[in-house]
Amino acid sequence: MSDTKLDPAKLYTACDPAQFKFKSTAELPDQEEVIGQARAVDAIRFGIGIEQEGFNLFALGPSRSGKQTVVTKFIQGQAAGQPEPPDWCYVDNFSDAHKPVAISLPSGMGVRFQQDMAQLVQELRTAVPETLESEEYRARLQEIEAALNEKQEQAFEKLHEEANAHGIAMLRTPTGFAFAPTKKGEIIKPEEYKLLSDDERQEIEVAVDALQVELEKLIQEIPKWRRQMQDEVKQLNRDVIMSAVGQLIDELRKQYATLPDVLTYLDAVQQDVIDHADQFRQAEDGTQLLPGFVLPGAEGQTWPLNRYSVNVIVDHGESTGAPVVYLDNPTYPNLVGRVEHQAQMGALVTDFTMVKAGALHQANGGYLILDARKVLMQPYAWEGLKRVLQSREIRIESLGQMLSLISTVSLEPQAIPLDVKVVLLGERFLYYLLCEYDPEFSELFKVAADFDDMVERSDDNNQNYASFLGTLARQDGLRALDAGAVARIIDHSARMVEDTEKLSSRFGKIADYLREADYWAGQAGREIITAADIEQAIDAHDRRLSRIRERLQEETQRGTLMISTDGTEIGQINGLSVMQFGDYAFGHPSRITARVRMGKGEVVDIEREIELGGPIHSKGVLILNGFLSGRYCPDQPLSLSASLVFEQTYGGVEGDSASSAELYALLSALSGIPLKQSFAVTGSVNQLGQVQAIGGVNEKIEGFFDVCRNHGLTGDQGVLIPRANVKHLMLHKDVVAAVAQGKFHVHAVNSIDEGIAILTGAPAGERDESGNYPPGSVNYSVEQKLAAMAAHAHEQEEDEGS
Amino acid sequence: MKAADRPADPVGGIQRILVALDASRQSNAALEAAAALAETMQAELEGVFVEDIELLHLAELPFSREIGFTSSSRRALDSAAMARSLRVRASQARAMLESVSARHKVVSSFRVTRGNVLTELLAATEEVDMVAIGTGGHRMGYSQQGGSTYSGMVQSCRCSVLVLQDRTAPGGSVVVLFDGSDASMRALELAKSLASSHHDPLVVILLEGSNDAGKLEKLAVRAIGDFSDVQFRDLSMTQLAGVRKILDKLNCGVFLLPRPISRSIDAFSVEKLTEFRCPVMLLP
Repeated sequence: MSDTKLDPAKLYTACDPAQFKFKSTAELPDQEEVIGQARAVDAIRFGIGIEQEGFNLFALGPSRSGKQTVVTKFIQGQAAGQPEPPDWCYVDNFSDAHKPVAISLPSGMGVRFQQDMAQLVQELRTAVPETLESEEYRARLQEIEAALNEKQEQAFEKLHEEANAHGIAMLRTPTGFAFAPTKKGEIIKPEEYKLLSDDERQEIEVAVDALQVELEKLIQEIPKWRRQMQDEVKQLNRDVIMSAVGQLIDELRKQYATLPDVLTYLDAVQQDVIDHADQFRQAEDGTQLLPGFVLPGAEGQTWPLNRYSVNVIVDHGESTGAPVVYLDNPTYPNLVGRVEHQAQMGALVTDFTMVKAGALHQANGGYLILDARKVLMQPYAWEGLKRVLQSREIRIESLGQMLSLISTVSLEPQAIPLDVKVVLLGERFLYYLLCEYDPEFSELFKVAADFDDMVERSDDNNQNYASFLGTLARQDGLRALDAGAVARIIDHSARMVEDTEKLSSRFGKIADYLREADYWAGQAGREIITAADIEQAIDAHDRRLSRIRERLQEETQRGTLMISTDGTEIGQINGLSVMQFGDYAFGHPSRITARVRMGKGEVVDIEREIELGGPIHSKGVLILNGFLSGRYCPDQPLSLSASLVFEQTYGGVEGDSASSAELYALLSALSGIPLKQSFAVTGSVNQLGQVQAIGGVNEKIEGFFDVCRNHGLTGDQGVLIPRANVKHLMLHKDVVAAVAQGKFHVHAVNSIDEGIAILTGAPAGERDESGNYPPGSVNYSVEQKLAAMAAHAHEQEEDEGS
Repeated sequence: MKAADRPADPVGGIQRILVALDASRQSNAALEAAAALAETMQAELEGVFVEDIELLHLAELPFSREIGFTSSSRRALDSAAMARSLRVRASQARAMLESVSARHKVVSSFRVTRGNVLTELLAATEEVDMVAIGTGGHRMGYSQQGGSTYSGMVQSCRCSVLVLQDRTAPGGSVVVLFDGSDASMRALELAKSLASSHHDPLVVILLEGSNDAGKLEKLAVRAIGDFSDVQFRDLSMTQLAGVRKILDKLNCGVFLLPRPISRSIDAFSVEKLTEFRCPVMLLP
């Protein structure tokens, strides 16, 4: 028996503050290396280094494990040595305004180009009107107009003379022209006309008809002459404006001689300025749509001339190295960019100046870090991200347009080539779900950086932990920690992962404890964080969340929840379970009872029958059947019907950690040997009767300890745990103290036989050479009972058969 | 503005300005210019629409057809339709006059007469101080009516004539041609009144002939008195061919030309006046 009882030293593996040679973490250098994540770090190095298509990175691991910090740090280190990517601008497409043209310029030149174009427009606003007001231009324009007028006048004059030659006048009517015969310079009166001979009238009418045909031809010619004149005016404008514009644009051409896209654009600007020279005269005060309604110029620039502005969407002028962008809110527009609209006179209008870059534009040529969960939660963000990674170009399309939700006129900006390394940060289940359900995911995110939940608890890592805490304190402006505080955090870190040999890598959670401890240190007026502050932070954190645990304890103490901590009972035992509420878990005992009768070899799990038991719990119960049959009835049918139940549980039961407790209750019920109620039991059992490790061992022990303490510690009380869980023990100091004082006990057992002996006080019993259990042992009683049931069942079968 | 609101002392003694209306683009432009001048001179506007008797005669001829000015389509004419068309044009002209005069805050009246256009208009000028007439019809050169009306008015009208072009460049200065004659003294007086009433600059072109420039300037200075915003420019008879360019450079808003001078100089012939870019006021 004594070998199962654990020493207090086994219950809590404390970190010795003496191993730290510092007085406070302020003395420690910054922790540059990632603690214990070698596999993930190697994957990140590989993922960042490889430049092949599809080798984007998915950093998976528990939340708040420092994935983002690690990834960002590595990427920033890599990016710093890489060249700055080019700037990107959108400019007007003069031939197709709804398809703005993208222009790439060397890093930092985007803004310069924008300023140069603004300067050019300013100069054109002076130069073009001056040219159009020049004496030469006006004279040539008048010449062209005069030529047209002269042509018209001559044509009409000729017709007029021809008419006069026939004694006919050409008159202007309200809406046209008409011909009429004259007499002595006046239009002939109708009555006079009637007096004319038929021949005379015939002659007049023939002449008038011929003149009308002539006039028709002449009028039809006029629009053609006007078009010719307009063409001449255009050519004149071209010649005159070209002299003013060409020189100014040539200066820009020299500056951007090595950039073919810019040169092409400047050619287009030159042509457009020539074609729309008048806008430089009209653009002084905005555009008048209706009398009294004037559209103001945008941002100091006059509206019609905005077409020559440059929309710099990506500017790396201030950057050093490749960009590293973390997008906190990865909506579809924030990722791929958007086209904004402006309300004007009740209508929504847009142009290339309202094209806005997304994070992909900003990160192009560098790295984009995204939270996978956020991306997946935003409508169409995941689809949009995959599409740009597959096509390797960023094409801005509004969701409304894509889904045909709105019919506002929008733009189709030219796509921009994409060269970006995307890093997704997410929990493991997201990675596995995406692998399973999205066939494109594996093609696009070929590198997985798997961050472990825990790291080795070694001396080196203890030192690294200390440095990490010191770094964190410096970064967050917190007080430094003394060695005791560091040791206490390391202890709690081991408790968080329930392993004396491991430390938690949930550094975000550790940082929270540190911040709380800093608060308590401040409250206590200390300059440095001590172990007491850490302790207080942990306790306060637990206390804030302990409402349900305390209610359960209270109801147990009041007898509402029936838990015995003394005496003995047949077929009744204290099982242990863990309840998890958000980030807080605690243990509590539950009464488990077993009843047996003759039957057909069934062990009925009442939880399962009413669908409150989970599948793993059911599995544990069914294993009991195998154990009983294998051990006690290898040669005959198990003629037992047993029922097992978690008393006073009204929610679901899951897990097999109570299967050993259920087996003890069953053996007690079969053997009729009572179980000590001063014990609680946890551990799963296999068909061979070996007790196996379970989770939440610390919380379970503490849960029963609290009940016993409330009932009064007698010195007989204790808990049976699987021996495999001893390395997980990081118990609360109160439990450790009670064990040290002999008021409470923790037994580590390997098998059911060890456990039943402790629980009953009777030996379990081993088969002798003839294969029989010794009388008085638990196994003997059980076997006898099952044999009796089998015999009785056999008799019944024979009776029924006869 | 009602008649009761008439100004007591119109500028330069010009109280009534007649404008011939036919609701065409040219006559509307003339109306705009005349209204602006009337506002400046604090004068009244009198619009007159003449139903051309010759058009009515034309419409009664059995073979008469009209060729649309823009469509070039041929339509039959009849007297009823022609009369109706003229009435519509008259009502359009009236509406235009009322609108323009209200905008310029000038008193206006409107009447319709029937007869020969030139005869009716000349008759109407008997009761006014100035007539505004557009050169549009003349410059088209194809209409017996428009061209002859303009020429006839300029040549026969005994009152002042304001010659208005289709498109006049906006200008600010009042320019007057001065040769020291009585007519030019009256023109200078009117020019001074116009310039001072709207604070526009006054430019006096001294036409050297029997008097030299110095003497002319002394005469002009004496006539102008204390008006300060004035400049003088000499012009010899040989330079008269370039007077249009000079006026353009001076940013001329209105050019006051004494008729006795214009009659003897080819640069101011009826034909040449149509080529000016600013309104020309022919003064008796």
